[in-house]
Amino acid sequence: MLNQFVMQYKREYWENKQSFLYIPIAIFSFILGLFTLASLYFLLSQQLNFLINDEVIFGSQDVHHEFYFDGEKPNALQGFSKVEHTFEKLPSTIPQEFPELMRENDKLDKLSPSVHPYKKSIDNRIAHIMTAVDFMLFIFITIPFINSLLSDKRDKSVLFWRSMPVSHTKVILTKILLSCVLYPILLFAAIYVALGGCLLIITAIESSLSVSGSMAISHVFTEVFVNILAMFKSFAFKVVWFLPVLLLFGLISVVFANLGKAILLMIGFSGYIVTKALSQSELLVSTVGKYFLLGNETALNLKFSVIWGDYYLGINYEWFSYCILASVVITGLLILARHRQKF
Amino acid sequence: MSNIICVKNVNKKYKDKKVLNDINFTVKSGEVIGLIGTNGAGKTTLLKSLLGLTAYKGDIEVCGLNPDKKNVELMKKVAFIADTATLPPWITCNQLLEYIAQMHEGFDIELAKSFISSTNIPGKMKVSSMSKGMVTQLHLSIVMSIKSQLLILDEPTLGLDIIRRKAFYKSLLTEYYDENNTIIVTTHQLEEIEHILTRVMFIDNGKIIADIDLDTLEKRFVRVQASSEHHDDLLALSPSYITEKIMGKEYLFENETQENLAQYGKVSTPELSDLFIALCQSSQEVVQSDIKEVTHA
Repeated sequence: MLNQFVMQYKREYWENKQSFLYIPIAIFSFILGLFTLASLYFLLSQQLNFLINDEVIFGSQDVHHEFYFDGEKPNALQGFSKVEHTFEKLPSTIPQEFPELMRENDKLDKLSPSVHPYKKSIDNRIAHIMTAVDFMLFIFITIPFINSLLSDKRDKSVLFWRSMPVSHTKVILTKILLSCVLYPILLFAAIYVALGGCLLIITAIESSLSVSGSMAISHVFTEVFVNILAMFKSFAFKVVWFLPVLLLFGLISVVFANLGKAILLMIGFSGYIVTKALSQSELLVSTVGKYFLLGNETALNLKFSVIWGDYYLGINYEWFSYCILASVVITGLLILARHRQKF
Repeated sequence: MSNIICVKNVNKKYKDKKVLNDINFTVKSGEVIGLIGTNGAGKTTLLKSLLGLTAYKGDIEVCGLNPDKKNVELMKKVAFIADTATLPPWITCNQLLEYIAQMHEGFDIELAKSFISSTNIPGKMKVSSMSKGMVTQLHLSIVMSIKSQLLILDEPTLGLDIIRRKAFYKSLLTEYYDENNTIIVTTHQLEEIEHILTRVMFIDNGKIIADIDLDTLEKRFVRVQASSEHHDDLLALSPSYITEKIMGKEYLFENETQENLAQYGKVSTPELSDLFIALCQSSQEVVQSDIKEVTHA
């Protein structure tokens, strides 16, 4: 049983070797290549300005543990840099030794967290990177999934596969797990490693040019990496939340498999109709509209909460359970549709 | 011997065209059946119906299972090559063997390897790089290595040269077949398989026009080659079909003895291909006359 599942994955790997091997490599090479070229260009044209310095190090500390001066500048702090005095804040480990410092009210801090502009700039960039990664991953989930449901019919090997005693449940579950779990993780890993490469390059350049050295960049390095990794949970949430939509596309593809490329037009057209109907019908706005809105908002909130803390509304578990239930039902329908598919 | 296939009142329509028209037959375990028909006669549709790969109306039971509902379970007991089926182009020979060995309980990978070693197919070669003949050889090697109750071959030797076709049918009989296997095969090269068949079914316009046990062929059908002077006498005996020949005519009779007909000319047992042509044309004439009658009415 398990061996059959493993073999099913192997078969998908053999069939989609290009997607599994070459696309991650291409993405990795593209990101790293582009970044290296850009760095070299700016370095050679002397336009490379580093934002990474000790201001960022202090700015990137967790806002919950920031301490503020009481207005007077104690002598004990004379040893600190101009930047620290200017921004009137210190990293959390230092203030315990200085009673003159007062801690900001946590609640006030939460309502209006004071964030260093450089940190904000880095955080925004991380969020933008993740939006691009999200979009890319979604493209690479939807297309391979729909494609895998139709490929054997297209290459005329469908009767060979159907002559194998492999249950439809096994086939469909393999395709879903592969497209929605394993493949995105693989792509995310490629992107993650590429970003790591970018940061290594910039570290090397920065270390050789800046007085702050690699110590300064290591803080940013850690922050970027931890945050990007933590943001993957927002993507994972999105996958589960929108899984019914993906499965619905798959169901349409299987049911109307004989239409060939017209399926894509059909999916596009139905998307257009739903969008149009959403602006007309109150019922659709409060159901389908809310579903899409809630999904996107929650994913965004999860992303923000990684950077700025849990100030945002969490997951709506009632709707989340409906999504899981809908996924199970549509998967069942998909299996049934595949079983009913005749040639 | 028990029935391995039971088909009752099976019909199928594509839009207005009837592709299977009230098909009824049973197949016993151990039979080797040739399903013979012209292009578009309904052979492939019938085979697909037997495996639950196409929708149909009526009752079919194969290996004790309803193919429409228990298609996956059925495939554990059946090995199948479809005429239009091709192996996936991206797969290599070795990958294919590895996959089937894991997926099909009845697959003997060593046997498959021994079949493939007699061909010139490299293990790492992709199907897309193989010639049509190589693909067919590979597919046949795989199917012959599956221990199944029922083997269904739809135009299995398409693309093979005559030497390989003969070799395949020989090994099918010597290395694959035993009394527990049942084989259904369709082909246009009837003369190449008639020696291995135990039974033949002729299908035309979605209807089985003849179902002949080859042991009874000699008793059931008689061919008489006679001059025109006996034409009226032979016509009175209601021949199934008459063919014009240079030296007179050839009459095909069903359920007449050779002794009774010997007085009119040279009697012989008809060859399967001749019998098929005669029965097909006779059936089409009946259809044509039916159409005419309906039109007149």
